[in-house]
Amino acid sequence: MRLRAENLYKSFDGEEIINNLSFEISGEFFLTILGSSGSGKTTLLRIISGLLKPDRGNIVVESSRLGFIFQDDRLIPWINASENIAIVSPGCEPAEYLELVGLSGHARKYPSEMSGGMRRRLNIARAIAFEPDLVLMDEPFNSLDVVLKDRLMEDILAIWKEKKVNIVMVTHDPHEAATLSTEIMLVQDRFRRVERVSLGNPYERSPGDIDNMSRELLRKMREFSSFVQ
Amino acid sequence: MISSTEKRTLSTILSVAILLLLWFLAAEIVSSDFLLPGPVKTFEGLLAIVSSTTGWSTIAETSAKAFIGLFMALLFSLVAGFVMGLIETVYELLKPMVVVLQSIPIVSWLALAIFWWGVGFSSPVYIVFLTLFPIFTINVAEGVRNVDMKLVEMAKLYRLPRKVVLSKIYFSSAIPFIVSSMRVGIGIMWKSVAVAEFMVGTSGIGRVIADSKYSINIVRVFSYTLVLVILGILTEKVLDLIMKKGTRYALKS
Repeated sequence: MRLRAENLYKSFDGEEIINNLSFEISGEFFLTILGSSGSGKTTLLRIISGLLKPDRGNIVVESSRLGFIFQDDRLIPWINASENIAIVSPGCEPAEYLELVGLSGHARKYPSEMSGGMRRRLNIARAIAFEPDLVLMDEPFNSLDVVLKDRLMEDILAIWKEKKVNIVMVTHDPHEAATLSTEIMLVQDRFRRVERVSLGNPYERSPGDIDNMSRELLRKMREFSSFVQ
Repeated sequence: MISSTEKRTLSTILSVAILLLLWFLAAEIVSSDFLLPGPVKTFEGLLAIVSSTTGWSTIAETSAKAFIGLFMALLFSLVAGFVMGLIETVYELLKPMVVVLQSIPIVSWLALAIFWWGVGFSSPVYIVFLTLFPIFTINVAEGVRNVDMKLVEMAKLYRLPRKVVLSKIYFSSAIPFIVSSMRVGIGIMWKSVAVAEFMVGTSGIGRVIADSKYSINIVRVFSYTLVLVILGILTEKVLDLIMKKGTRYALKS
């Protein structure tokens, strides 16, 4: 699986969001795009998904099926959890995917009857049920409490490993990046400054490694932001 | 302690009782069955209607016209409203036309109906259709346009088939709009079918009211008016019931 961007540009209403971005990644990966809020990360994710076209440049996504974990969930409100899964993958066994994300027993619940954390999990189950080879995640841990977030990180990593899907995640949290990624792309200043960090297999990382790495990432982010201001 | 539903039922009963009392008093003061028949006379007339076969066939005929018109309007407006809601150009093009259609007074249709469809069964059906069609169409179109584009984007990403997107996302979003226009439409339906029968009908409640006017049988005018009021309230209640269950079904399945 390969993902390649060449000299991408994107602006909205004359405001440049992505400025000459090039990168390439291949093999089995969990790529995290790490940057402070409003740095155009979501825009990049939408370009990768094909929902948005770049103004200039090329994007090559060698994926045949693509899942998307939306920040605002986008579940269909008038059908239940199980049906929300079945709709993207007719004939699949929704219970299997609900179990994967720890939602067994909530199959008949409607999105409005679920907590934010459960909706996020359902969103993930739906994406996986689509049997994608690439999943894009837009701040998947946003607005979740610490314990829920920690559990969900474990589950996502397990899914990444078991289902052998490649993941591109967007976040502003260095701890999430250090815990999950095989590869980090630290972005700042509308993608004018990009730094790649290779981490290898996340399962071979000790809690100490993660702490050190997230502190290092945070330091870089601060350096970047003082450079900008 | 009384619950809020009990409170509502009580106030409804009280409101109807006050209305009946005022009607009774006014009729006593006027004391003329020709000018203002009282509630007792009117209910006697109502009893006479429902205990005769002609009474029931009159009611059935008016109801048939009303509902045929209603279902025709619903069917055509679903198609027209969907096309309008989905395609911006069609919406821009057709909306003024539908608004014009909606503004045409019922008497103008009535004046034309005799020449277009003749006197008889079909004219009232068309009148009901013409009054309801623009109301329903606008509402279906607005409902479809009201769809959450984020859900549509999700559907595109997950390659949901067109049929599924139309039924599970667009149609479901439009349901609340369709329900509220139906509620408004039901009241209009009974009024317009009666007026149409009165002017260009050969049978039905409107026709009987017209005949009673000529034969100065004002009690019968009142009794059949009461029949229309009861029909209106009844259909609204039945609609509420169907909608409550049906909406849940339509949204969920």
